[in-house]
Amino acid sequence: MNATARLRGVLRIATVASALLLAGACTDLFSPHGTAKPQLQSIGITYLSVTTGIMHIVAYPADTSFRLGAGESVPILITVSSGDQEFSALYPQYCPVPMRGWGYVCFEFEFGAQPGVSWESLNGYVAGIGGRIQTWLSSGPVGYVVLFDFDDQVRRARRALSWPGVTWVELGSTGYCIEGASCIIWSQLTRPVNVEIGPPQPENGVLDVQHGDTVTVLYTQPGGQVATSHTVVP
Amino acid sequence: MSRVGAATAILALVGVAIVPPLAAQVCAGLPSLRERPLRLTATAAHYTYATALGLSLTGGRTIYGTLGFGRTRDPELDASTYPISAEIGADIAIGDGLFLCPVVSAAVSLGPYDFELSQYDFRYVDRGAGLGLAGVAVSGRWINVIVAGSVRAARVTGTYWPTGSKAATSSGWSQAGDYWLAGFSVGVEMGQTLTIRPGITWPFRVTYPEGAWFASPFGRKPDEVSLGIAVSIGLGRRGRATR
Repeated sequence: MNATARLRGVLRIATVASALLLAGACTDLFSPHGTAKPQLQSIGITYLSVTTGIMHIVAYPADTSFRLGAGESVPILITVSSGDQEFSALYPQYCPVPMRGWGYVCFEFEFGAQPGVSWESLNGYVAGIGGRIQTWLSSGPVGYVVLFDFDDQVRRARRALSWPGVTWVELGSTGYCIEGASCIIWSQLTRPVNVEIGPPQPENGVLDVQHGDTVTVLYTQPGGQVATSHTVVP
Repeated sequence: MSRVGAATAILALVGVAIVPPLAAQVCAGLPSLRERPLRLTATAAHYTYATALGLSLTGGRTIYGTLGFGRTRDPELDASTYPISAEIGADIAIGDGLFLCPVVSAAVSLGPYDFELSQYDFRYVDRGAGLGLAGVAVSGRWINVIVAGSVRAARVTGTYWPTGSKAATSSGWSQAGDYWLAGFSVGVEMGQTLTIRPGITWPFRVTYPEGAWFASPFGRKPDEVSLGIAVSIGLGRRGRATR
């Protein structure tokens, strides 16, 4: 067997090996995004307003080095004493995931508008991108928007530039913190929830509550214990 | 924004901007231009953070030139870059169905624009040189299989500058980084016209001064091996096919 024939044999083996390698890569490429189950140090409802229609859930993993991967989330259950129940999930407080580029706060952005622009005139536009205005400063005016879905935050925030009267849009800043610095707890998890006054409609993506209801957030720890947080709807 | 933050951002964006290697022809797993003088190739690659699509046209024979353009998009950051690239290389026959391929390349990638709603635009300039080795593993009447590997060294310079209301109060910055890129591919040529070529690429020895924790070079994790595919059509025909 001459050198060329031997080399051709090697190339054929390489062909088969590469096919196997590519098959493996495809398996990895199309693997589904999953859930993560970190041990939580605490979980809490930090804000609930039926006026704005927003509830915030925040959680802190016990291991501060914990980071969710791209497409990962932490499953939680939200129950309401009047009967509603929603399966939801926690995501990182700080984006992007994994951290790259300029960091920003997940689920939120701010915009500025020309004087005279009203909160009411933009509410429909905000709802159209799956969010709600949590804070409105009429001196400016400036709106602070909370989004209820994790995906496409930047693209959806960019749409605000086309709203009537809007002059600027910015993502929530992480200040001058960068990954590795101590000024931000980078492992922090969060989830804003869309809240409405109404009869219970379980698993419709909206938390239906009544005044005086008790809202409970539940998370099953890796060891099986259930971490909970409660608040009463004002 | 702090200078450190800006620097790391540039380095992170390098990944969004860097073009997939053209490395057209034999050492990228595509048929030699000895049979068909023109080749139109569409490429797609999926990375952890981004998806890259490209289209290129190659002409020549032993020595060839390639012009290409594309789009690399990071959906989470709503950031896209548009690379325009040029490459000159040679398919040097060194034996029966074996080729050695020196190549030099240059590219400018435009964007992303208004990155993360920051009113900063970006541009990258990438230049590199490399060498490849390829061989025809299977040669038949209807099917040829080409196995190829290559490695190249490159330097990329990223520049950003403020726009809009920030143009008057902020300044831009440039930063350069070096990297190596290895590729391995298998091209299946059918009917001497259509070639389907899956392949993998692997960036390594990526250097950047601000630390690895922010960097996502090449739109992927550092040292991430990623999969791409090319579909190529040979155009025109020379008088007599030789291999």
